[in-house]
Amino acid sequence: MTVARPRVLLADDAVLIREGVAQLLRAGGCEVLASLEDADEVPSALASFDDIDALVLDIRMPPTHTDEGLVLLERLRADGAQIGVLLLSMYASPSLALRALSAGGATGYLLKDRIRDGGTLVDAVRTVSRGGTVVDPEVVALMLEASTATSRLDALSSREREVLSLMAEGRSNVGIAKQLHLAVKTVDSHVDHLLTKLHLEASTDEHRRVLAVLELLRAREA
Amino acid sequence: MSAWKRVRTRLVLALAGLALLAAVAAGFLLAASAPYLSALEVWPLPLVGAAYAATAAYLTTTRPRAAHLTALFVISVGLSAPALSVSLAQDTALWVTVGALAGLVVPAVGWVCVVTLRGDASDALERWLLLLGSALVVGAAVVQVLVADPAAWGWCRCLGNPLAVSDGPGAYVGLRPWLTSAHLAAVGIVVLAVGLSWWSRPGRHGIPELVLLVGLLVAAASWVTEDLAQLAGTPTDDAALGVAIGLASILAAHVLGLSRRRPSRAHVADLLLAARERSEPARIRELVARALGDPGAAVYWWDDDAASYADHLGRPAPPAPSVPAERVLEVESDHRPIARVVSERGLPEDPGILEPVAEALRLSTENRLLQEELAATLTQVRESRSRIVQASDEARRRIERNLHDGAQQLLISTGAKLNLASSQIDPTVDPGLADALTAASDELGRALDELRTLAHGITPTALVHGTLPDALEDLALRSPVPATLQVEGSADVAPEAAATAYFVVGECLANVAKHADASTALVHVALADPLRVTVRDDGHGGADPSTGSGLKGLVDRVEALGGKLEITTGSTGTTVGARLPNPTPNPTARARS
Repeated sequence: MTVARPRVLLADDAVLIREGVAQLLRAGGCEVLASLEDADEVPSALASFDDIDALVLDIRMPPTHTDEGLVLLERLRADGAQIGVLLLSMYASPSLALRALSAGGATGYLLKDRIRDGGTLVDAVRTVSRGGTVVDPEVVALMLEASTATSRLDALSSREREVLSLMAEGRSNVGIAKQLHLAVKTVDSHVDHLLTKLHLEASTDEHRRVLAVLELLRAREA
Repeated sequence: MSAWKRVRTRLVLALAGLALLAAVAAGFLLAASAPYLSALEVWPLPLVGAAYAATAAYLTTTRPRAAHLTALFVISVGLSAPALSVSLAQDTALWVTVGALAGLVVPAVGWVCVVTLRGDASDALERWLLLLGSALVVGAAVVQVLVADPAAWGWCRCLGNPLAVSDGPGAYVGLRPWLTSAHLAAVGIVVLAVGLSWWSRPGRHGIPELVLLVGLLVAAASWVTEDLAQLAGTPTDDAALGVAIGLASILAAHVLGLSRRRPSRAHVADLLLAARERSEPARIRELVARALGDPGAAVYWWDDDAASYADHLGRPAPPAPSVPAERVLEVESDHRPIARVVSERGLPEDPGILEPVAEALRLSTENRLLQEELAATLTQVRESRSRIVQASDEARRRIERNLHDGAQQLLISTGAKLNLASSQIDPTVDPGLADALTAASDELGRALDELRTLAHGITPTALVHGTLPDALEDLALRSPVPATLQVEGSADVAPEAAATAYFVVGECLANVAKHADASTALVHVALADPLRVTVRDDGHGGADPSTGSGLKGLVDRVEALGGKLEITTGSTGTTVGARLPNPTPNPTARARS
C-alpha cells in the first residue's frame, strides 16, 4: 500500500526549516499541501484537505516552545485519527520518542539533523503514511548503548537486535535485507523469531512491529 | 499637681471613712433588725468590708492607682450591702439597689488579686477577662434592680421596688436563674484570670501568693455553693462565712505583699540571666519590677523606627514631665536610648540594684539587635545565592533558545539546501562537485552534532521539551546502570526546582555508573512542595561529598535554592535525597499546566 505521491501537511514555526523541509519533500516526490507556523492551525488545515497521508510536526512550537507537537499528536490519536505523523525534534530524547510511539502506530520521531539527508526524511514520511513506525537512529543507538541487563531484549541474538534497531528506524524487511546483505527470507525469519521472543504474537504484522520498537524503547523498564 | 494630690488623698480618706462607717452601721442595723441571728451570722462580712476600707485608707501613704482604690471600695461596700439591704428593707425603697451591689465584689476581688500578684501592670488577657467578669456582674446588677419584685419572696414584709419596670414577680422569677448563672460565670472568669496571673508570676511559690490563692479558692467555692443552692431552689446563708474568710486571707496577702515589696539584689541576678537568655520583654519587665521592689514598675523600650518608647504591650511611655525624675531610670548605651523604667513607688537608691538593672536592659537589647542583624544577613546571603542560581539558569535557557532559533536552524536549512543542490547535479558529469557537496554536508552534520552537545551541556534540553518526569525518564533510559523511575504526585514544578532536580539525578546516576559497582538504581520523585527526589543504588557505598566536586556542587546548588541534600551511604548502597522548595506557581505565570 505504498503511496506514490504522499500528500503532506507541514507545521514548524522556524521559517528556514519549514521552507527547507517543504523543498526536500517536494524534491522527494511528496505533495506539500500547506506549510503552517503553528500547531493550532493544524486541525482546521486537516479539515480543509482530503486524503492527507502524513503530517510533519515540529515538537517545539509556540506558544510555550516545549512539546506542542507531541500534545497535538496525542490529541489527534485520542480523537481516533489514523493519519501518519512524523515529529521533528532538535534533540534525541528517548522519553519523547517513547511518548510519541505510545500514542499509537503510524508515528515517527526524527532528529532535524536528518534533513541534511533528504532521502531519510522522505523515507520516514512514506513509512508513517503507510502506517509504519520510525525512530531516529541516534535514539535507537542510545537505547542499545544503555545496559539491557534487566530487559527482555536479553533473549535476542545480536543479529536479531540489529534487525530490531533497523525496524525501529522504519525499514521494511526488504530494506533491512538490503542493509545487512541478507536474503529477505532470512530477515523474515529473524523478525518472526524476535517478535516471538518478545511475546508479540497475536496481532497484525504492522502493530507487532510497533510493539517491538516500543519494547526496545522501554527496554530499561522491563 | 501636689495640691490635687492633697485633695485626692483627702477624698480617698473621706470615702474610706464613709465605707468604714457603712460597714459598722450595716452590722449593727442587721443585728438590731434580725435579733434571731447569731453574731457569727451578722458580723463576718461587714467586718471584712471594714478592713478593706481601712486598707484603702492605709494605701494613701503609697501611690495607688484609681482602679486599685476603686476595687477596694467596691469590695468594702459590696460586703456590707447584704446586711444593709436586709436591715433597711422596711425603711427605704433603695434596699433593692443596695443589695444589688453585692455581686460587684467578685470582679473587684479578681482585680485586687491580680494587683497583688503582678502589680498594676498586668497582662492584656487578664485585664480583658476581668473586664468581661465586671461586665457580667454589672449587667446582672442592673437587671436585678430593674426587675426585682419583693413579692417573689412571699414572706417579705418589705417595701416594693420603685425602679422595677416589670409588672408583677413573674419576670423576676424567670430571670433569677440567669442572674445567678451570670454571677457563677463571673466567679469562674475571675478564678481563671487570677490563675493566669499567678502562673506567669516569677517566684509564684511564696507564702503570700499561696495564702492569696487559697483565700480566692475558698471564697470562690463559697460563692459557687451559694449559687448552686440558689439554682437548686434551696437558698443558703451558710456560705457567707467562707466568703469572709477567703476575702480576709486575700486582704492579708495583699497587705503583706505590698509591705514586702522591697528592692532586692537577689532578684537582679535572675534579671541578668533572663536578659542573657533573650527572654520575652514581658518577663524582663516582671523581673525588673521584682528587682526594684515595685510591682507597678514599667519598662518602656526605645523603638528606633517610631523614635519613641513603648512597653511590651505597645503602650507609649508617659511624657517625661508628667513623671518626677526620681521615679524614672533612663538606660542608654553609647548615648543611644535603650529603655526607660518608670517606677510607681520611687526608685531604690542602691546603685548595686540600679546599675545591674540598667546593664541587664542594655544586654537584652543588644542581644536582640545582634540576633536580628544576624538573621537579616543570613536571609540576604541565602537570597543572593538563590538569585545567582536562578540568573544563571535563566541565562542558560536563553542561550539554548538562541542556539535553537539561530545557529541550529541556519545550519539545518543550509544542510537541506546542500542536499537539494547535490540532488540536482549529475555525479557522472562533475564528480568533483558531487564529492565536495557530500563532504560539506558531512561537516555540517558534525557541526550540528557538536552544537547539539553544546546546547545539551548548557541546559538540560530534555527539560526544554517537557515535564520533569519526562526529563528524568530520559536520564533513567540513558543510564548505563539500569535505573527505574517512580513518580508520585502531580504538582507543577518551578523551573529552578526542576533544573536542580535534573542535575541531582543526572549527577547521581553518573556516580552510580562510575563508582558504585551497582546492579540497579531507583529514582524516586515526589511532585509536591517541597519537591523530593531520591536516587538509591545497591552498590558498595562510599559516596562522600568532601571528596570530588560532583556531590559538593550538588549540595551547593540545592542549598542555594533553600533546599537540603542528604547522603546516606553504606555497604548496601548509597541513597541521595534532595528536598527542594517548590512554591505553587502563579497560574497565570505558566502557560501550560
